[in-house]
Amino acid sequence: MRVKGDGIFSINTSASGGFGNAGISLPETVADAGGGGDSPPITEELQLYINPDADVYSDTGTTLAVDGDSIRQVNDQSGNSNTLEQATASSQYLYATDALGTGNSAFHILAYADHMDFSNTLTIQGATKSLTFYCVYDKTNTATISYLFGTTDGNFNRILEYGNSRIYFQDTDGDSHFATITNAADLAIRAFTLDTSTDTITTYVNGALVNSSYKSKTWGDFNFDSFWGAGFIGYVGNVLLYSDLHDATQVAEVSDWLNTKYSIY
Amino acid sequence: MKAILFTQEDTAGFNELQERIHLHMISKIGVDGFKYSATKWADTQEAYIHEDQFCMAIDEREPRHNYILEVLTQQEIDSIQDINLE
Repeated sequence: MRVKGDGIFSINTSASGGFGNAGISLPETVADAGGGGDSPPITEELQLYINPDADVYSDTGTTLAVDGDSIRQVNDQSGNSNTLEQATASSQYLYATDALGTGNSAFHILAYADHMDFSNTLTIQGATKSLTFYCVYDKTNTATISYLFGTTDGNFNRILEYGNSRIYFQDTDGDSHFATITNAADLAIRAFTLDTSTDTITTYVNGALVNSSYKSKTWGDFNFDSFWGAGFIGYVGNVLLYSDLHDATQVAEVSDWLNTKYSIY
Repeated sequence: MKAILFTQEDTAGFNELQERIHLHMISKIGVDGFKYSATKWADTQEAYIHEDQFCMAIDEREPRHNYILEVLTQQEIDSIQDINLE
């Protein structure tokens, strides 16, 4: 388990003015500057924690992005170094401060080609691990398909949003399973869980259960290479991925923690 | 989205233009605080496909947009299209 205070604490004093990108870096720990300024209330099996208000760079990790900059690199705050990168200029997100809720920064995705890639493939072994995925976003278009996690070749291994109303989990073999969500065009704190032991997907919006769906399936590995793109236009805030199943109480706990930052509900 | 379209066979044309834009962007780093940190402007592997053609995104955000126009020929500027992605 990773806990705040385990590692070396550093603050980049070249942080941008105003809101956003506080430049807080906590190697080997879970960083501050998340929901409400605290670490996530659950850190066990936390694989990825992306926070637009911390460690977002306009270059390869030296210069903190300011409002309007194109984003070159985003550092993972989970302590697992699942860095996000985009070296292709026409595919870079824009950095937007004061974009979500009250004064929170976001990744502004403006074009279909916009996405970021993981520096190393993020693998979760579905045969033995379940998944819990939290995300805060405001989608401003109505594209049929957009992936939240995916692959650089556009093939299998995706957590996919379809038609603003469904979330699909799709592992190595491409067979997929979905559950419904409420309108993805609304700013919300969303949580999706995949219980690979019972083959059940459950969706939550703003901490409340929306749908639960079962399909018999033998799950393989999830190998995520790419982050948020292929159809999504809008703003993305905090994102957390766990290789563990959170129950309704835990989902409410993490959602409430995110809500202390975003004040959505 | 504004873009110049290339047939999927014309990777040479796509790559020549992306490199021209990329090198011009590099030459502008630091001009009025302009930031650019990329290894290329666009990539056929990642290009959005519109009606079976590669889309070369023409960034409408300033100052990038102005810099792109500086390196395009008039013929290329005239070929910029509005692509409806909805």
